[in-house]
Amino acid sequence: MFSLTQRFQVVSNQAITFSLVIIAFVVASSWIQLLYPSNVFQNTTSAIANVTPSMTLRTSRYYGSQNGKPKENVRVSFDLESDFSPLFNWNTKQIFVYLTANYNSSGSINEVTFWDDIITSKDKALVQLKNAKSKYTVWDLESGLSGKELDFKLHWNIQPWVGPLVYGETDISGDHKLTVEARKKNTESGDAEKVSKRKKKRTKKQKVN
Amino acid sequence: MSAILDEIQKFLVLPIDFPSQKRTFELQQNILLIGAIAASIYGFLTQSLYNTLICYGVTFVVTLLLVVPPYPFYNKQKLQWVQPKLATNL
Amino acid sequence: MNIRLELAKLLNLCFVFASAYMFWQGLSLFANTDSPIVVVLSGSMEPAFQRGDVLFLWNRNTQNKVGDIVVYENEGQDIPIVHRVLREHHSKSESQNKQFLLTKGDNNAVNDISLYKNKKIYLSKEKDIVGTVKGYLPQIGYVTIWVSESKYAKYTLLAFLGLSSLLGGE
Repeated sequence: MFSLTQRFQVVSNQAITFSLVIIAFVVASSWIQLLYPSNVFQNTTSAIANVTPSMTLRTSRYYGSQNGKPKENVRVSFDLESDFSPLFNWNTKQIFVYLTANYNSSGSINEVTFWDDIITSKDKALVQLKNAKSKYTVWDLESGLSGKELDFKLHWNIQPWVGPLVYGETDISGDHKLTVEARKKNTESGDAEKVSKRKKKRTKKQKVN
Repeated sequence: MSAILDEIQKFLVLPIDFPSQKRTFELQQNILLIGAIAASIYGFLTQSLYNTLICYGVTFVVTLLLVVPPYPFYNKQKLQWVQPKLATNL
Repeated sequence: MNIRLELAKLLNLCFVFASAYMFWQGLSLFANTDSPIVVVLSGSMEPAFQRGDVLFLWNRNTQNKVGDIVVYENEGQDIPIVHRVLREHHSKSESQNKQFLLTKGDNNAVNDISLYKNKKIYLSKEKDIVGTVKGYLPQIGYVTIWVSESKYAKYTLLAFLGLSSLLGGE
């Protein structure tokens, strides 16, 4: 504590040490708030209804096709209701909510996202969707999706202001299993035409990283 | 060149006396500790990390202002070194 | 000029660098990844991650889940990209442990297929993924972006370091 620089260094070091302690307190207390009074890992529920799929064939690389072979693309529309307000505490920056489907393809479980949303405040934490369209069109890695049974799940991810990322899954009620109908042969050509039109429209720009 | 540097170096030391060094160290530790605890509790009660940040930031600045500058009252108890005596009477 | 003192200073400096290097290597061994700590460089994951946020990575998991935020690098490019896993698949033709991932930035309108190299439409978990994001510290890493992108900041930092080493002399 003799010279000016020494005093400055000692104060800063001490401040950094204490700020680490504060961060630990924030992380621990916000974790406890997720468990009490009600455990959000078990008690977050959601209801899904009216899941209806629609399938098209597309030949663009950006829709999963390779070597010019058309690929089955599936979209769904659905009703969804869920309340995420218990997930908000003083260390919640945003909640990322995503609707995924599991399906079994050639002996292994695959998981794909159909819809997601970012919730940035507690007032917007009540999700109520009627006849919503999926954000993404989904294709399988190898074979098509037709005839596959999709098992829908709604997940959440808490993005904190500081500390570890927290993941969880909602308890889903309602009819969340759905079998995609097998594709009829005669619709193929019509869909392929649609594809070429869509391809031209697709000029959205994307930020790197 | 190095003479100028030495001059600047000497000027920048800005020392304080020994009892004050001890006192500023204790002061700094206590203020930061109380500030950290207060910031945590205040932020938790208002459920706002922003409040915690502001509260702790203010504490840090106050500590810096209290401890770092060599105020005159930190230099009142200068140690009096024993003066070297010329060994003439040997 | 006291040679012993100067050498001791040099040794001290070596010690600082060596311990920093050791910390980094220990961390990458622990997390099994080349870069256990990553600074976010772009806004494609906003509002979750902003430029300058620091992410802690973990790469001991053999599989990723959908919704995980992963860091990947394209072949031949050194820019780490932080995006979220949109889909995960397993290949039938190869061993079951191989996992294929499609990623997307939360703030981007479309998925990352146009970013992948060599006409790929999936990332391989084994080859391309640097790590999965587990922890987060806001804004601390902005200094590195600031220094690497603004030359004034670089000179300021260098001048500050030089001055403090000249005038330090404790």
